[in-house]
Amino acid sequence: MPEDLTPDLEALEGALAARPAPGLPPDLRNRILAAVRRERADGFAAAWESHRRLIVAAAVAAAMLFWLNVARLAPGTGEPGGAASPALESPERIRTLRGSLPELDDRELDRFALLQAAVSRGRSVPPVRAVR
Amino acid sequence: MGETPEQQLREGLAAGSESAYAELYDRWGGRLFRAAWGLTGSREAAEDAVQDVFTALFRGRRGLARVERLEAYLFAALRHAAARRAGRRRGTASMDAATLVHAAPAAAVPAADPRLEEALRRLPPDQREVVSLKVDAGLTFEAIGEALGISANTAASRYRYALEKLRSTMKERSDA
Repeated sequence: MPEDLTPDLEALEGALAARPAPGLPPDLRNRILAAVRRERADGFAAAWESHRRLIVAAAVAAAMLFWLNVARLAPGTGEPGGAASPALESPERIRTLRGSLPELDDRELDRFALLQAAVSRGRSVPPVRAVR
Repeated sequence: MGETPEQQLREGLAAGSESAYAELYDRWGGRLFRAAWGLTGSREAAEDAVQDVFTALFRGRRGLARVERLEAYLFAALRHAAARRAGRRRGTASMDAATLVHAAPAAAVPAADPRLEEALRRLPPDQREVVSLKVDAGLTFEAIGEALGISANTAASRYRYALEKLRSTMKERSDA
C-alpha cells in the first residue's frame, strides 16, 4: 500500500507534487458562472416553450369541446347557439292549436307545439302520453 | 438533526442556485483544474474540461440526490470531460482513457524535471489517471476508486505501480 512507500518512491511522489503547474486562471470562475447562468436561462426558455405549447393545446381542446356542445344544442331548442323554437316564434300556430284543443292550458299547448315541431324535423321524441 | 454543509451545498446545486455553484467552484475549482491539467496536459483543455464539469453538473442536477460522494462524482465527471476535450484537440471523439495520454505536451508551464515529464507521458493511461487524481487533485484512494469505478485497493496498487514505472523510466533515461 502507498502508506509503506519506500523512501525513493516517497521522494518521487514529492517531486510529482512539486512539479510546476499552471495557476487557476482568474477569469475561469466568472466564465463558469456565466455558463451556469446560460444553462439556467436556456432551461427556463425550454420549460416555458413546452408550457406554452401545453396552454395552446389545452385552449384548442377547450374551444373544440365548447363548439361540439354548442353544435349539439343548436337545432331549435332555443338554447344558446340554436335557432329559436318554431313553436315560440309562431304565436299564430299556438292560437290555432288553442282553437282545436281548448281543453289544454297554455303550458300544455306549448309542450304540444314543441313536440309537433320536433316530429316535423324527424327528431326522435319521447313517447307522448294521452292528453285530455 | 441539522444538515451537513455538503448536504446544503448539494441541495443548492440541485435547486440550480448560482451561489451554490460559486461555492462549489471556490471549494473544488483549484483541484479540478490541476487534475484536468494533469489529465489533458494542456491549460486550455483543462479550463474547458472544468467548465464542462459545471455545465454537466447543472444539467444533471436533479440526479444529485442519488450521489453518495460529491467529490468522487465531480472527478468522475472531470475524467469524462477531460477525455472529450483531449479527443477534440486530437480531432477525434474518443472517450476512452487512452485519449488522455498526453493529448498535448504540458508546454504551458516549464517542467522542473524533463525526465519526470517524459516518464509521466509514457505511463499507461489508467496509471496516469490515478497519479493525477492522487497527486494533482489530492484525492484519497477511496475517492479515486469511486471516481474510476474500481476498488480503493486497486487504486492504491495502480498508484504504486505507476510510481515504480516512473522510477524505472527515469532510471533508463539517466542510464542512456
